Amino acid sequence: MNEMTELAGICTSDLTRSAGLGTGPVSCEPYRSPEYFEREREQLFKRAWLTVGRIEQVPEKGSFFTKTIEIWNTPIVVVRTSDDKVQAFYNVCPHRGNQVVLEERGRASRFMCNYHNWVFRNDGRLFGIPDEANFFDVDKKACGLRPIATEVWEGWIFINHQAVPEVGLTEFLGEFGRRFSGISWENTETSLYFEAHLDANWKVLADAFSETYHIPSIHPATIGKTFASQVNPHSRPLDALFWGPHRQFSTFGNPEYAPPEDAMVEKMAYANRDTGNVLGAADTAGMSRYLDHPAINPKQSRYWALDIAVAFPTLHINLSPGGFWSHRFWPISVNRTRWEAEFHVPRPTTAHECLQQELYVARIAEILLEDVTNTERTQRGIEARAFDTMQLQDGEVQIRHNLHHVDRWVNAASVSEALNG
Amino acid sequence: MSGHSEGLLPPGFEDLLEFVPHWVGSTAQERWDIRARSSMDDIRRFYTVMLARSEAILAHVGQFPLDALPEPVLRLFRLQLALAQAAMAVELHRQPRAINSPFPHSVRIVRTAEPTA
Repeated sequence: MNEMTELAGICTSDLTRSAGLGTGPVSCEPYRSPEYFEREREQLFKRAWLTVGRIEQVPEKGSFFTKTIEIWNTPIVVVRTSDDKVQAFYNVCPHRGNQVVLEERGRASRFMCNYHNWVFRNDGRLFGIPDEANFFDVDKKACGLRPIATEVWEGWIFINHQAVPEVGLTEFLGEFGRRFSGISWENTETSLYFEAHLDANWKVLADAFSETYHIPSIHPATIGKTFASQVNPHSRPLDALFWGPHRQFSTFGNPEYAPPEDAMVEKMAYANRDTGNVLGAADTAGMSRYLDHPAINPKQSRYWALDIAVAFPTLHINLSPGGFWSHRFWPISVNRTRWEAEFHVPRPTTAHECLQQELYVARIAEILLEDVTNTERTQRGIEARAFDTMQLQDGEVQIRHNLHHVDRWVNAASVSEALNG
Repeated sequence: MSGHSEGLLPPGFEDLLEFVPHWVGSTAQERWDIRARSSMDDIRRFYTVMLARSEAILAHVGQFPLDALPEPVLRLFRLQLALAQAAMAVELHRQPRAINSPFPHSVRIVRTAEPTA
């Protein structure tokens, strides 16, 4: 069997046409137009459900964390209330607009604004106003913290800017949400957390984690050889599946990969490894329940490396044999983005495991650095206006799919129209 | 080694004292930054010496609970963890930093699961 025929047996072809997408060049304007960005803000980011974290960040009643949602120009606080409900609020005091909760995270039954000591219960209700008698008939019921629509799916906390969302989270996620539910998420309690502020459009960031075509060239030393091989030298994907604006992308892994002979530290650290996966710091013993889920490696391919499950628009969940991680992209301006990556790992319990994980952290940091710093060069190139379009190949189908659905949202009169066309 | 460096590392690891001033970082982010700012000659020397001492270091550190390492043991352990960073330069990039990557940059390792961090 020649190599092209063998490749055809491994990687599904014609992903773009099968998804009903066009095959022509795509416009650069959504990446560089301030007007388009403002439409994304109003039509997409203020109407779609956005992921702000996981429920493990609020493990107990009273646990909270704060965050700034740049695209809404809004500071928020996410709380597990005393009646055990996960709820986001505008982190804004109804008195004169000061931020109420200043800590990044913590646990509290009440929050006190430090400006004039107004106090709120952790379910948002106003508890007390100092010198209330000197106000003029304050409607205390209307002076609680203002809630933000909040729903949880599979441990992921989603928020929606619409006071009464046109579409609930279950309907928003649709078949994607059903398919990826019931996963035995591993190591949810502990994670490695990376962050960067990049001079690039949020879609340039998302695109960087949406195809594997770049891996042999951008990552020659770090992972080039784990995601490509002689039979698949350009790292074509195994498959791609689409449900409305959401999707799944299965990537190719080289089953023959072994650390190079002179990678002494890598060999020493992984001398007792049983993952068979150089990306994974975890061992596979606790992983089988998670990997047995039918949504993961749907083709049951021996060449499977990992799945990228995308909850449109900004949550990328990566499911690999070693566990899961996520990328979240937070637009700040047309060419500025805050990017977060969180890798869920077990807490190391021995010195040897610490070294293994340190090696894992060091390697991921190099890979992410290669990916995200490249986005600033891409953005500069797009803004140079040397070209009005970009060329996308079949393995870059996720980028085309994302652009298609972003465009639908920015043009749709309602969320229902955006989702159902 | 001068007298004031005595006790910086546990007895038996005096040969590594020369690395303490430069290579001990308390978080993965600090250790990444230290390696990125080091010369390839320094990285290679550190790597070679530390690789040969790793087994002894891990055995020594393994005698203590990770969340309560005595100060000299913690320092020794942080040297050991820095070897992971040195390995990126020696085994992958063959230069101090990733090819075509800017430095400095805004990518931060904000949090790890490292119990001694």
